[in-house]
Amino acid sequence: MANYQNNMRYGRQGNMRPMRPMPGMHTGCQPSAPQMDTRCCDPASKRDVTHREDCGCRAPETDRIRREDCGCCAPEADRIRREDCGCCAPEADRIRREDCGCCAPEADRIRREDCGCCTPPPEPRKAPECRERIMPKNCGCMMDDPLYDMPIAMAYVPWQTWCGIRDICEGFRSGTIFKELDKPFLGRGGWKR
Amino acid sequence: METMKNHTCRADLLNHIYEVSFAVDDVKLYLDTHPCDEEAMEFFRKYSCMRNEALKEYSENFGPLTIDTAVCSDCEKWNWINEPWPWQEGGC
Repeated sequence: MANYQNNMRYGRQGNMRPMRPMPGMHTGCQPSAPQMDTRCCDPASKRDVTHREDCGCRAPETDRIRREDCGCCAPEADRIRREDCGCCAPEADRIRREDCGCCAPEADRIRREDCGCCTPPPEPRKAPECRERIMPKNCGCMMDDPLYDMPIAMAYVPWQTWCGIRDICEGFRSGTIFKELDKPFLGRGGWKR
Repeated sequence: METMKNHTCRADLLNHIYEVSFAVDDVKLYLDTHPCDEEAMEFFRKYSCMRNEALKEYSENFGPLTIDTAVCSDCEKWNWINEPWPWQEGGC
């Protein structure tokens, strides 16, 4: 690290970062640094798919189409605002946000975000194809699993609401003042029997 | 607001303190993740005040349970260690 800092301090080229070409500097055989071609956001070049993919500033084709639909290729100032609203989030999340009106005009959008409507638990997704293949046919042992469609290795905690408040005497005896949290562990399922 | 003046028995009053303290602790955890929930905040205010009143009453009659109510005791001397603690014989 010390050598690297010294190299930076004395203007020498280190091996951790390529030298940035300077204006008017002859770089010889060094390829010029890749630059983002902003023409791909120009509506006039929308049909030039090859050109857009070459520039590398966009995601793969299916994802790019979705982003264009949401208006992310609008003029710069407007695009920044739209990105902040989360409309470039993953597909399932973006649909949810649009339904709740988060892409409404600016003043109205701020009010809606304050109401917390953008923080529900993630919607169930389709199980990956690999899991569908691996699942034994005609077995049915996993068909009653309510979490089967959810991605593995993720934990989900539904958002709690203020409801079912118990009397404090009963809450003290059961260990919680929330009726819906009174779940003695019975080894299976997530509800009290 | 409910008053604790009807808890003449030491065990009853201490049990009430346990219950209301647990409720305050539980709603405190809820408010950590729901700081804007007005109903929960109202619940906290109600039972936090009730807990303070119960602790004060206990201190006045049976000696302080917490250092915050040590000055509420009628005794003018320092009686922090004079009364039996709840887990000792005679405490409750």
